[in-house]
Amino acid sequence: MKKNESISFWLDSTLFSYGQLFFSKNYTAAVLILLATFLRVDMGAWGLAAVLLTNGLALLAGLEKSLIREGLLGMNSLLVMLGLSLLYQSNATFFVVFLAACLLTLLVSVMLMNWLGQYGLPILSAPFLIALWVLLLAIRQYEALETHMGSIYLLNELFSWGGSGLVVFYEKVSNLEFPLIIAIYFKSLAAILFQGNIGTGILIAVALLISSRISFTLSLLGYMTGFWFYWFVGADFSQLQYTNIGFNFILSSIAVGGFFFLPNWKTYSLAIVIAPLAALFIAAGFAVLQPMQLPIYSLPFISIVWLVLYSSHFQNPGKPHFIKPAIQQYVPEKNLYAYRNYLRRFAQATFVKLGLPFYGEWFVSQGHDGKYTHLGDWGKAWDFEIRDGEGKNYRGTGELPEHYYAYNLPILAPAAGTVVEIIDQVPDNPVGEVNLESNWGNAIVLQHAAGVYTMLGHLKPGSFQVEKGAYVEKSTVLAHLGNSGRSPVPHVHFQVQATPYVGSKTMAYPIAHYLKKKEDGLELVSHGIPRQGDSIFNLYPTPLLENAFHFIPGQELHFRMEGPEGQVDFHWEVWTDAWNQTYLYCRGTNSLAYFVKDDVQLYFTSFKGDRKSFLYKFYLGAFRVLLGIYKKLDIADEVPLDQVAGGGWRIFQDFLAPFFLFQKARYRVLQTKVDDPLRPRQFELQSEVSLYNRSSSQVLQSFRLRVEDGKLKEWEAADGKNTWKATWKEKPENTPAHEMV
Amino acid sequence: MQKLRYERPVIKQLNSGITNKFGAQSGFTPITHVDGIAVKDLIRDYGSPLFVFSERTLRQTYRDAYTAFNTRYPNVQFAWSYKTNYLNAICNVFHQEGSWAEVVSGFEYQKAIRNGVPGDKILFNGPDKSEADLLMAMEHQSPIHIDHLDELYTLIELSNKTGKRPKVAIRVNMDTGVQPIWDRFGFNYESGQAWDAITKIIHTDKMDLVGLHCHIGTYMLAAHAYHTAAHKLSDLALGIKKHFGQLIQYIDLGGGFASKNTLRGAYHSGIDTAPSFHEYAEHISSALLNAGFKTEELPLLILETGRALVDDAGYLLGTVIANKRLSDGRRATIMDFGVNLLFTSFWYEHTISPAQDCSQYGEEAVLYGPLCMNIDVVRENVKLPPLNRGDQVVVQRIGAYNLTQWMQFITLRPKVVLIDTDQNIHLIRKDETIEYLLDREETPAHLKHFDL
Repeated sequence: MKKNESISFWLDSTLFSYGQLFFSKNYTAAVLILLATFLRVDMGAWGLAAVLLTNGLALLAGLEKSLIREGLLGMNSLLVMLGLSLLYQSNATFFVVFLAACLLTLLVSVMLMNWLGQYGLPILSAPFLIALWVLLLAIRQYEALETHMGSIYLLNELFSWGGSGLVVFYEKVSNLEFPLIIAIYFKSLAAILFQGNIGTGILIAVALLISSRISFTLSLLGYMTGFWFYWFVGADFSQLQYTNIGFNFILSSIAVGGFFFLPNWKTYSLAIVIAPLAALFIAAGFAVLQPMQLPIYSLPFISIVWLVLYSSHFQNPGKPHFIKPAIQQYVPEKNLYAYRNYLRRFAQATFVKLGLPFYGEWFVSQGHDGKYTHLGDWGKAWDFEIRDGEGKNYRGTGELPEHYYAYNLPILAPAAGTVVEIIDQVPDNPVGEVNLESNWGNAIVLQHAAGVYTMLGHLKPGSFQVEKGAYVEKSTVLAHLGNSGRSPVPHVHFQVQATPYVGSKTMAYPIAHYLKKKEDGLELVSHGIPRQGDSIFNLYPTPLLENAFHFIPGQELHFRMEGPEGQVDFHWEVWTDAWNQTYLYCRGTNSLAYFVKDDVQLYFTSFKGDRKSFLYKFYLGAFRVLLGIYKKLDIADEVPLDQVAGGGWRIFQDFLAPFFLFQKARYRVLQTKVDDPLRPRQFELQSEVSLYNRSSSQVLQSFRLRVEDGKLKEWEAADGKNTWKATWKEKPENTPAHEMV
Repeated sequence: MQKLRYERPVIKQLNSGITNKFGAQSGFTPITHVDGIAVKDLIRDYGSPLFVFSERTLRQTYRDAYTAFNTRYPNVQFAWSYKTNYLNAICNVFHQEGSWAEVVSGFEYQKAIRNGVPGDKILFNGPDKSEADLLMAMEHQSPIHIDHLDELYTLIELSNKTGKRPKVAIRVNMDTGVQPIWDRFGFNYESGQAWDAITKIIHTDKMDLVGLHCHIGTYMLAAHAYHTAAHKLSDLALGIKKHFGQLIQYIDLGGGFASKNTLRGAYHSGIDTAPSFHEYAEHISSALLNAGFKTEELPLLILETGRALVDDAGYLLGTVIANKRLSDGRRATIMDFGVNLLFTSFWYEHTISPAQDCSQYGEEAVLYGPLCMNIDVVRENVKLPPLNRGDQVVVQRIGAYNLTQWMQFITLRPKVVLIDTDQNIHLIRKDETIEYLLDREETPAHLKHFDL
């Protein structure tokens, strides 16, 4: 186990040092880039040595492993050594310089990381720039270093490395007659590795395409814009001096167009409009650095990305144009799919899970920003009353408050909290009259968290069942509904506010979960805002499902699987990470499925690891499970696109993702069986994940789960070809519980 | 112009008593239509007498009752009391609305099963359950409400024999502060019988105790009695949790909610005295919510209300057969329906209204049924406008118990129709014929012939 871990550490930290050049963590892409560096064998070797030495030094220095694994430290050293070995020949002195260079780059990296981190800025290749400049200025005087003759010997080297075949292949590629504009694109890419040949550029372009369609598109976009700009101002882009710095346009475009921001038409536009700025920095950079005979390298790229990122911190936080990914997944499309999915599922998720403050079915007679009284700063409130089948809210003549269905009904705590204010001396109004002096009538304010208060108004005088200062559980009866305050007919006023006073300004805050009546049944709404005209009610969990899906950190779930692989016993562990995220972990396949469980639902949020694992099947099958028993409630959800196989259409989807999504991975789940309405012991659900292209759809997995006596007794997943059937196994006696962190 | 109706003159004694706030009702409101259908058309098409049910009223009443409880308690279930009215059409209206079934005999049980009610949603009550009945209920996983120890022992035997674990509840009787105390059914709370029975059930470990049931009386005008009942059952449930660590799944408060009919001898009319569903609901839910259950362990509240749900939806249409004067000078009117069809006239003073226009002048009368039997009195004393032979009347609020307790005595039973929510009329029970009756009879050979 230990050995595997250290192999994977070295593999990751090395390869990611190459991938980071293009903001990628894709192994294949990284290997291609690594190969590309070896088109100049000595440079490649020095580069690799620098990566290994820097990461090793960092490890020795006790830097955090996860930081080293990221590859940013290695990448900067890699660039420094590529730059140095281009200029100087390998000898003993150079070796000493190499050691110093790695150490210097590492120190600068660490310093910049912590310093820039305060401003929310990435180090990019800034450590490389500083270190290389320092070195270039310093080692000019070292006479023991010999200047490199460079590509003169390239063919020799290629021959010694790959024989005549490679030389012929190289010649062919080099002599390919690309249109100038394309040739310069490849050369610009190659320049990132301090090389000037088309072959390197092609390798890098392929690597980019493999790792991200969006990054590839952006590289073209950035390049074309730069090319066009120079043409427009009358400069010749094909000149060597420009080719060498053309990559600045490419990298800036990838960085702001798709990597640091979620790609959309705005970021694509941004990628275009920054091109002139890059040109300015290039020109200004030349002017300043030329006298010192220092190249500008990636200075324009770094300056632009810093400028844009730093400015972007000051966007309107409510409506940012450029949105940063919550979790950087190193593939722009993944960031985008995850974000779109998050928007659909959890954008409205809140810390305090509010329920509805009543039992049974109520009608929203006025919603947020209603046209009657929910105006301006007090707009984010609801009025609820009860209506019968004919839409009436009273029985009898409706002349007395008692005639109204809602009158005198219990009003409940929407969530657990402390009673911070009670007003209880306002008399009920006769029907039709309002009391404008005491707008909210008898009211109660609860504090649920710092800055999250709820207020319920128009209650009945003398009906309070709690006292100021009391802590109440969710659904505790607080008081009964009256007709006090600005209330012509009995209704309850419910609002969420940030301050503890009766009559505070309101804030928009969703109800965690509720059921909404539709023409043909019920709809489950999560993190929604009830609208005027909705008929809604609370939903409640069932102990059977609560227990079955109550995964406790430290717990192990053991199963026996019957599938095409034969019979396999396996188990998952339940973990909580440093950010308090809970996940199921399959040690055998090193896979993780993150989940969230609240009082009425369990949902999976993301999966990492092996998609052939059983955990992945379970993740898709139990993607969202309602913990209450509601037959005929058809629940739909969407799985992030990057979490399912996308077929051939996916490549097109990736290219188009910033603009629109035509693929969807839909999840549907239906409760199919409950054995006993009173004390259910058995419960069954069926779910399906289907991939929708524009017009066609394809079932990726169908799933069936049986819960029995509070356990996940049996589940079955089928992908159309094969069926896997897992049955619950008690934890074997002799296995120790997994270590808790 | 239509010819004015003849109404014979009435001589009325002038009563000059002290005025009271209730006043003397003068005038009569004729009921010419039921749910928009003319009474005279109904009688023309289906004959007289005729039972009529309003589906609209059934559903409205149910929803009112459900809302009353559902908005006060998170977990409510109604179970339709079959004995109140087990016409399939009526039962199914309630089942469509979400009601389970509550039965008190093997026959009712089978009726519920045939109606399609899942076995685990049929509550089996009553003191008389045969072994066959119990086996049937065990087979279908129905909760069996145990009425007495002998039934408990039978169940233990059956459980031993079949190896099945029946789902049971016990019926508890108690003092709710209302007389008379119904201690005939179930196990007494105050004397500790109920706790003994619970202990036995749990210790024998042959069955699952899922609920506690009570039925504190019938036509309960005191809503607070339900508060006491709910409180005492909660106390038992919490005791079970504390002593045995078992959760009780449901508390069944039975039925007994009053309908708006006036009881015989009552001073005020039922419309003024009968508590609304909301009053009952308030008493029951506040008792349960304050009993001390954890929120997630609040038991399901089951209600077996029958009368209050169905009474208002039923009408009996009838026709005057004759008028006569009794020896003491009182007027008597003979109707074509009597206690054979209106069993409830033994305890209610039914509201009887003319079905055609009439003047406001009324006369005290005795209302007799058609039976050649002295007991056949529908109302001892009712003030009605003078009615002629062939005039039609409507008896309101007769939906409960009459169609289960009616008698085939002297006459045959008439048709029953249902007016649906779109005002379509459906025959839901045909009238009885002589063949229907004779079909069941066997005449021994030696009695087949006679010579007169």
